Amino acid sequence: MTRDRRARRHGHEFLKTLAVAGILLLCVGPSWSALGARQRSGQVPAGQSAAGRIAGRVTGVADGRPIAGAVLRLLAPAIRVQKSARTDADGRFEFTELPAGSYQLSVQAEAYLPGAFGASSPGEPAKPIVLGDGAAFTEADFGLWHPSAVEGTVTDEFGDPVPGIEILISRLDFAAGKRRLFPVGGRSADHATDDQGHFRVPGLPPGEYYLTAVSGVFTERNETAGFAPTYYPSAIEAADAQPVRLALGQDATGLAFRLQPSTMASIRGRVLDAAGQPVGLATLMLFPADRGTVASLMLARGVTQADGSFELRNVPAGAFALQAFGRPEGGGNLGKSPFGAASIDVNGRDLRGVEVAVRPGAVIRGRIVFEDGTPPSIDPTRVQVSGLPVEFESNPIGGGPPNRTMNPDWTFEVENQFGLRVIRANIAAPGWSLKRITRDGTDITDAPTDFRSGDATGVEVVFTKAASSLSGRVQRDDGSPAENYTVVVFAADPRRWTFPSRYVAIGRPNQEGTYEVAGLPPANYLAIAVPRVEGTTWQDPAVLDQWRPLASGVTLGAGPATLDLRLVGR
Amino acid sequence: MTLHAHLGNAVRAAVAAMTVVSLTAQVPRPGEATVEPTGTARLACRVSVSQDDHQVPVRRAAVTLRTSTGGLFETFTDTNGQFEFPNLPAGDHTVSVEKAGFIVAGPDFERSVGIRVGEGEQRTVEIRMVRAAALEGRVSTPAGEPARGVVVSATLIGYGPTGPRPEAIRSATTDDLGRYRIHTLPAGEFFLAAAPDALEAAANSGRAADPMTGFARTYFPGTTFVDQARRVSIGRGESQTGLDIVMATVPLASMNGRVLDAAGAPPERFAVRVQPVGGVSGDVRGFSAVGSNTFTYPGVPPGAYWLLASVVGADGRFEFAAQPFDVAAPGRQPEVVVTTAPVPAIAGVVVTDDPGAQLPRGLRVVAVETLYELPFRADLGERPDEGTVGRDGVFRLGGLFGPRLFRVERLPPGWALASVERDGADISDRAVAFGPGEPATPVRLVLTRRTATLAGLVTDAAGTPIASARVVVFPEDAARRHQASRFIATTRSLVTGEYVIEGVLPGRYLVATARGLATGAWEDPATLTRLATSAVPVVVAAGDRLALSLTVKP
Repeated sequence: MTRDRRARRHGHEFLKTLAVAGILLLCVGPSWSALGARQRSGQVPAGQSAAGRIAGRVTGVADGRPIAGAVLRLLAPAIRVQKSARTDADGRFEFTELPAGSYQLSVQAEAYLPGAFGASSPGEPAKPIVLGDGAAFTEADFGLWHPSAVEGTVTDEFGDPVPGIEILISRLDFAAGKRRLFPVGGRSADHATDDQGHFRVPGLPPGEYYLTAVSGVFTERNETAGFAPTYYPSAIEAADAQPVRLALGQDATGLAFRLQPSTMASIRGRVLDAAGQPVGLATLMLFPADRGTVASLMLARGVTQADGSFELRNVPAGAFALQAFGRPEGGGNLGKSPFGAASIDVNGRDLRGVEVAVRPGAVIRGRIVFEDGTPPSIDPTRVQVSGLPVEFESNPIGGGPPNRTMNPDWTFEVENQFGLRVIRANIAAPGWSLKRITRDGTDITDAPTDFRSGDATGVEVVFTKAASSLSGRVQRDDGSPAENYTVVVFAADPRRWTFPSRYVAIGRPNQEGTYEVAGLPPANYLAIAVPRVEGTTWQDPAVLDQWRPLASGVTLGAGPATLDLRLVGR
Repeated sequence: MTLHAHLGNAVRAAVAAMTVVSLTAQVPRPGEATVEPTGTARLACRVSVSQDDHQVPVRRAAVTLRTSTGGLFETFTDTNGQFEFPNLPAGDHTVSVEKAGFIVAGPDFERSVGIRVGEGEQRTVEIRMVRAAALEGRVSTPAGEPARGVVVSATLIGYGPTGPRPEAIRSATTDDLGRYRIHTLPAGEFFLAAAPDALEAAANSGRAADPMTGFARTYFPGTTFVDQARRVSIGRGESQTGLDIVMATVPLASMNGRVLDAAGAPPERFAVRVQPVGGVSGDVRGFSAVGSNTFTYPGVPPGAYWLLASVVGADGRFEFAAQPFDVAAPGRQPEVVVTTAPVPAIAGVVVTDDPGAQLPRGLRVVAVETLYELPFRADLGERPDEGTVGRDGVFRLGGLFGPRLFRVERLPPGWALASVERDGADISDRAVAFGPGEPATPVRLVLTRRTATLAGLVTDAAGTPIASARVVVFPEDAARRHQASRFIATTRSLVTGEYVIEGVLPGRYLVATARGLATGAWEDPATLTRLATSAVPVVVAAGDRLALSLTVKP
């Protein structure tokens, strides 16, 4: 190893440190801050005790042995309770002094998949535990599974093993109006192929995965070049990728990649601000342009020098989107950065003089209106207005929430909006839901706003208490009650499925086996109960279209409705 | 659950992933930007490996060329194993070729070759690689479970500032099944050392089921003492499997403390490092709490450590403290209060002993530290321009703590450091102990061109030229054999087997060539005593140019 490549590797170690720090920072979010330190218990309503109790045991499914030191997390957002506990040597745990409420319980243990109470398999959402005043629930038992792994080899066009290839693990999901391969978990650099071209990526929950063998600019180290990103087993297009299915507790081994060679090029250029001045330390992201039926969220990253210049080396041939983010105020949140984008075609020849201009985004300005004129007794900051990207051509691919101001008089301002977005609003008050969003009197509830043509002012967000709700039970074919399922409720009119649709929602059973879906706009709907759904694929119009002939119809207006369903599929 | 909550979750998950992206993307990566070569020479190479008695190309290997003036150019071999640098400056360049599973053929562990190109020269060079060796096995806990995320290193005895120490040549991290494979190794004898990934250990320390027990650094097949470790011997291109290691556990201690500056106040900016004395650096990591002057090291195995603290004041003033810290028993250690003290910054001048000669440009003075094994100069508040010698010969050095020898880097060929003086005393080969209260007396370094040159050919016993052989020139006087000695010079033979060592001070020397010498071993007195038995004695005077051919023993 030469000293320079070694220095770069030290740099990589440093980045790894930062990444760990970043993950730590993220863990200190609202959910994990309770760990070991603060335990927050909400207000106990008058006339109620806080004498409830939830207890159980955590064991390994494979050998039935107790798991010591597992961390349990108990959450009841509505009554603002969050607690954590650790299992003892016998795998047992207990939460006491709980007020009545609806709780979600989950567990994490080293070398095991995380568990959520009531989930039939890892990765499924939890079923709530509804605890009455002073009640005890002592059957909160968990059986945890070991994660699965994918393992195989990578060879080149000559059949020789290729070292230094990183394996990107993705899931097919539906986002911003398109089917996309989303990379999941892990630092791919840890899974680079060795001298025999061998890779193994552990720690995966069961499911369907797409594997991409990446090199060059798409890897942290950028030390192997000459290949296009290749989808398993040897595809150039994401749409031709073959999925790898992982069953619970089982590994997929012997996966053989044959890499597709590609010419390499480097891209050099500058990032400039609105005044034409160079932007140092700007973040760059390069990813394949949206094309074909499946998009791939494979990212290459770079950063500009003090003089605004950048170089991305070892870029394979293809069409790419290049996005630049100026320095965000106060830290690393790209959602607060000035932003700019360019389309780049690469064909093996070096590109020089590429310029990307970054500018601050537009503003959403408006007010919140409550239908009956009386606001709920919550702090206005419990309402969240945001712009939801409907594609990633005009929209930045990354970033946290932008600066938002929510005033006591229910007026608001949301900064740094780019591209085509649908304005959405959430309210954290039981019973309330979104009715309508207008801009200067025009209904834009389901229509995207183009922020490239400036600010969106005169926005009015209307919340209603007269919202619909749909609830019911689900039975299996033999008439027995189903305990684990997902109910998907979607508008009968396919024109209302366009992303992001308010007319498509899912519900999960509580521990009584009952589901409830609240806040859908009044319309004619179809509903289906399926054993499970992968990620957000239930938002995909193609998936809804497949379900349509098997679904039951229901009309929702203001107020509650019930619909019992029969489980479809195994 | 409502639709909106769901959308919100999906967006939040995406946002969380992106936030990590942005955090990691804010730092420029060192060495990322390379310059395109400009010059009149052209170097074309073909890289091959022997297979069944003929040479086959080594494809898509990473090539790094370093020029003698510090330039850095990178490329890859093509599918025929070829690469070229069309517009290269003339000079002695070092070319390294890297591809996992292959190493550049040669007697040394360095994986590069020296190539000389002249002005306007069109040079074609054949670079031979050999198949590399690998070590494989499984690491388990004492309970027989796979030990995941353990870093296993193929280790040799190397040489640090304070003498012999274990040095990892290459390493690999165990997977979820506890398996490891260390590849791209030269043939030789290695120790196998297994230790938890320090970074992971630090990150997870708060979450461990038993935070007071940890894995000790364990040597194959299962001992914590390097002198009881079994050596593993591998031949060229060989894979050894079944090298299983059972980790030893040790009770851990937790260290915590506070840093105070010389005024007794909590400093605004400080850095703390806990480092095993004579051990592998970076073994112990901890946290400095943001916005306070406290630090915590949660998982420290018993042993002897240096506790090093540095403070940088708002005015750039630098303070330092180093104190030995023995962890004799596990458990929570008493709180340590480290008080830093201002350390001297000194000025100095570099002159030549020849009034007619102009002082070379681009020199840098370094103060070689010989006790603490300080791993990062930046920790010591060193600025990038530290030690840079101006046109008038003046330089400035800050952050001086501990014993230091003064040396000059980036000397042009033929130049040498003749002497170092301070306050009228000759400190050429004597370390000055810097600490609080040490006066900022300036240092004067004298350079000379009155030196000798040794040159020749390195061959094997059959007379075949040997590339990349290590050649060491060292003093006959054993008292002058030490770290950063002005009387030790070394190089590696070029791809043609030729070697040149310039800037040798007049005196009596021994010249030796050897296979498999670890980096830094040529400053180790014991190694030099061993080399002396096969060395050629020479006496050199200023202006001499000695031709001396050397034979590498098998």
